[in-house]
Amino acid sequence: MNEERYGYRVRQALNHGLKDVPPAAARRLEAARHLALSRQKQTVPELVVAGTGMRSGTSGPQGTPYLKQALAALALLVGMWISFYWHSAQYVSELEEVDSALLTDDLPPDAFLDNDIFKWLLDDSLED
Amino acid sequence: MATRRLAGGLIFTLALNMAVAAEPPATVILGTPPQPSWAQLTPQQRQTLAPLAKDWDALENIRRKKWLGIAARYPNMKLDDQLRMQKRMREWAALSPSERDKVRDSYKDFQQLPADQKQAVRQKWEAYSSLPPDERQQVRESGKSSRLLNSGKQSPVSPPVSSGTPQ
Repeated sequence: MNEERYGYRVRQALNHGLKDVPPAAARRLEAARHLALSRQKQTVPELVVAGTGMRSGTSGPQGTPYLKQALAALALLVGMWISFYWHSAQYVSELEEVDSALLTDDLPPDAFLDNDIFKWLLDDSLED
Repeated sequence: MATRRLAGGLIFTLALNMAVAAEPPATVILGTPPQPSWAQLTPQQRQTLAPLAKDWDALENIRRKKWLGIAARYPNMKLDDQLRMQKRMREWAALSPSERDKVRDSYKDFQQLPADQKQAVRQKWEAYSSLPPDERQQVRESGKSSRLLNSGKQSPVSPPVSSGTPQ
C-alpha cells in the first residue's frame, strides 16, 4: 500500500517536472525508454509470475514450501518402504532357510510338532 | 515439532512391529511386493510346487515368496531331499501358522545340538515312529527314550554311532 502511494507521488513529481526537461535530455530519456522496453520483453514472463504471486499470495512465497513438504513426505514414504522391503527380504530368506532344511531333514516335521515327544527324545539323549 | 514427529514415527514403527508372535510383523507384510499367481508361475516352478497347486492362490505373499525361494533351491538338492520335500510340502503348508512356528523353533534348537546327539535323536525317532500307536504311549511312559536304542525286539535300529549312547 505504501509502495503504491510512493509510486503515485513519484509519478506526480515526474509529470510535474516534465516541462522543465531540456530537449536534449528528453531525447536521451526517449532513447533510454526504448532501450528499457526492448529489454523488458525478455523479462516479462518473470515479472508476470512475480506479480501474480505478490497479488494472490499463493504460488510464489507459499507454493514452494507446499512442494517441499510434499517431496519430504514422499521421500519419507519411499524410505519407509525400502526399509520394510529390506526387513521383508531378511524375514523371508530366514524362513526359506529353515523350511528348506526342515523339509529335507531325516527327521520329519512331525517329530518337532509335539513338544513333549521332542523333549523326551532330546532330554534323554542329554542325560546319557 | 521435529522431535514430536520423530517420536510419533518411532511409536508407529514399534507398533507395526508388535505383532502376534505367529504372524509376520506388519512391516514385513507391507514390505513384501505382490507375488505371482499360480497361472503366472513358470512351468518348472509349477512342477516343483505341484503339491501346493490347489492352495497357492490363497497363500499370502510372504509364503509365496518363501516357496518360490525354495523352488529356486530345489534343482540343486539331492534326489532324496527332493522326494522328501515333495512328500512333506503339502502337510507342512496345511499346518497352522503357530504349529509351523513351534516346529521351526524346536528344529532350530535341534540344529544347535552336537552331531552325535542329533544322530541319537534321529535313531530314536525312527524307532519310535515305527512302533504302533498304542506301544508308543507305553514306551514314553516306561522311561527314558534311550530304551528305543537298546530294545532290538521292538524295532530294528541301526547301531548307535555315538560313544555317549548306552550300549
